[in-house]
Amino acid sequence: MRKFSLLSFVLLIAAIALSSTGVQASQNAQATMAATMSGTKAMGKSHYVAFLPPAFTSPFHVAMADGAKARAAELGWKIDVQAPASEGDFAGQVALVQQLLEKGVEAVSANPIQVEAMVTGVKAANAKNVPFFMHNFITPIKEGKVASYIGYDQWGGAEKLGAYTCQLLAKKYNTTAAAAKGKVYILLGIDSIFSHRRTQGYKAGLAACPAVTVVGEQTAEWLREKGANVATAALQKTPDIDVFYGNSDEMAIGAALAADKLGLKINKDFFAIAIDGNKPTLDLIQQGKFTATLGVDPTRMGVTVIDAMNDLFNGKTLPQFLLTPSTIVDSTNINDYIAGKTWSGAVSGSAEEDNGKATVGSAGAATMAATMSGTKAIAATMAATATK
Amino acid sequence: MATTFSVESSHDARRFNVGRLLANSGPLLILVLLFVLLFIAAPSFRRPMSILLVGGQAAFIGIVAIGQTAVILTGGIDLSVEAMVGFSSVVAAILISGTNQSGGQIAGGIPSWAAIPIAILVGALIGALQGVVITSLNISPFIVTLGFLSILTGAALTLTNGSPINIKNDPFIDFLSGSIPVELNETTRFAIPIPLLLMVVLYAVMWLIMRHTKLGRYTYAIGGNETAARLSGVNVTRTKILVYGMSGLLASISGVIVMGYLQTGAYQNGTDYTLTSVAAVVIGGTALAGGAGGVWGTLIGAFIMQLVRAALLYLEVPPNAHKIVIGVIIVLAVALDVIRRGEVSWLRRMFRSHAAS
Repeated sequence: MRKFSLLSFVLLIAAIALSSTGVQASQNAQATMAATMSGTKAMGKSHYVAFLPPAFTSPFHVAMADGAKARAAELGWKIDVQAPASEGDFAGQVALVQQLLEKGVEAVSANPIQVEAMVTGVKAANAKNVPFFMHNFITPIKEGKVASYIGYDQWGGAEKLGAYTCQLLAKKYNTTAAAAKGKVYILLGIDSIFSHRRTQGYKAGLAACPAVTVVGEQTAEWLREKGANVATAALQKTPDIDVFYGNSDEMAIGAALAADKLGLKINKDFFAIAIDGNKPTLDLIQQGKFTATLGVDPTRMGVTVIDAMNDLFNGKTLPQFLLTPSTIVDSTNINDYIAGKTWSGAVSGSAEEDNGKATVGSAGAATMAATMSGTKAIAATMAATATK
Repeated sequence: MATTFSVESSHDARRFNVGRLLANSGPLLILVLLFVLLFIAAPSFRRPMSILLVGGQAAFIGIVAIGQTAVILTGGIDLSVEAMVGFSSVVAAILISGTNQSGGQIAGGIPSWAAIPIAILVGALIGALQGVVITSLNISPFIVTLGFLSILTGAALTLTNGSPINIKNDPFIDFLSGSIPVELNETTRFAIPIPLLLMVVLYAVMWLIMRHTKLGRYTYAIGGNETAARLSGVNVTRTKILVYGMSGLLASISGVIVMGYLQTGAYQNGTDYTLTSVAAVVIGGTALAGGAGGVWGTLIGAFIMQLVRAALLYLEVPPNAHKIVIGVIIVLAVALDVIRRGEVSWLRRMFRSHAAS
């Protein structure tokens, strides 16, 4: 027997143990400390709650978690933020829910990676009488009781971006919005209700300018690197793509960076638009490297989740579906968005189903308003580019 | 003076026979074949820019594969490279952005021309550490580098909490991941990606090391017959530590280039690089057992792997099927390697009986 085979065995076990640990956010200490310091601000009793993003690989979920943590700290609550290491590990996410229930959390909010798998977690929470919220998700699940679904209308938001695309192309090629022509490439996400609703909504918005064609759509798995690879190949196949639309910011950022490396100029040769409204995207808009994003303000969405939990603890009835607002953000209104002036607060709304149709009650008026502000925004963007 | 016959017998470049020529030109033939196929099947591939781009994107894997070649030549393997790519991209991004919190595209830390060499140096040291563990404790490279794969992934996860660290670009970063424009005439304009140039330079440097330095000769000797090499006076320990250090160094170089390209350092940068780099090495003609092969074969292997990926995208093969195709190619590559070395006895017997009749 080799002298150090025991050591290699131990190393192997250690390696396996390390790799099976989910990402643990040691936020508890920080939140409790912040709570103690702002103790005078805390109203009502302290609560212990759990917040589960699908992963931290997207700045969107980091921002939502940050918003939730900040609000929880303000209220003097203890909050546990946990997520698996990747946005594909649905089993890992359910396991985290069950562990947190064992730790005695009083409420849970999760953005489910895969909703069928999460039903197990929901039912476990129901059995313990722990209210289960879902955030960034407004599609009712088939089994189990959910206290409230908090999210934004994905179809509606994507539809606004579709109409905005018509405006962008109208200005580029000097036509009216309805007669706009051009080529669009869609970057999908991991195949899920998120990618379905957003893609279908976007295409519905594009229907306002039927001459615009979608020259391709490929998944880039919500990741910047994949977005860059897909865009590079797409531009090789079709060098004159006008618009890269990503169902999430990160993928479209990858596409924008890749196109830039190929010598194309943003806002002149091509446009990059997406959904999220994350901080890196805002920085890139300000640096003139990205066109526009659907600002859903993830930080304030996170705050809304904690406020909804607070309402529930204080005995108020919650609407089953809490819709948060979204607005198209580009260089003209970015400061308003950051300052929260475009946040009109969460309102009661209806569910979003994976049925290929617009969300019921998704305000047609909201779409029109967005298109109007979009028009003004695009005119300004064009003017700004022209003066460069 | 140490006897050199054992070194020369494993130094394949000196010997010349038809079998070896075929074996070595095999990868080149495959590359040319793939190229022609793609040229015919995808019209958009026929521009110089497209070809250069495939080369540029091959650089990310290609640079990692340089180090992997050296390691495999010694008869070892480095499974930690994909985590090293992610880890070095994270280290560089944290140093440049000045924070380990995921946030905007900022540059609040040290300048990139300082951060990037630091990240590369850290990678080289960690690679050398793996060499130390392998040699001093006599544990198989497979286990040690597998362990470090996990350690480095975990380290990158812990440093960033799993989130990407975004950086603001600057001229140096733009240069590293950019390209040199070339204008032959009015209509023929393309750009040569800098990562491609860097890759070729690094390959040339490694080739010089492998062919014209003692380190290179010792690398081949150890792969050919470690015991004989040690008995001939080769400092096996020092050679291995240097070789694993080089692998760490090269994987880190790839990591910082990826970071510059994406303007983000993330733990998952570099996913799948391990398997692809090993495939590039094996397809290029280097034996998995070590002692035979070389870096230029790996370059061809890296181009082949990237051409396959490009083909999958150009031909719009459904993304879920990509992994099947790549996996089949990797298995075929290793199978070909084994068959070529005559290690499949029933095949050998079949061909021998045919040759006899």
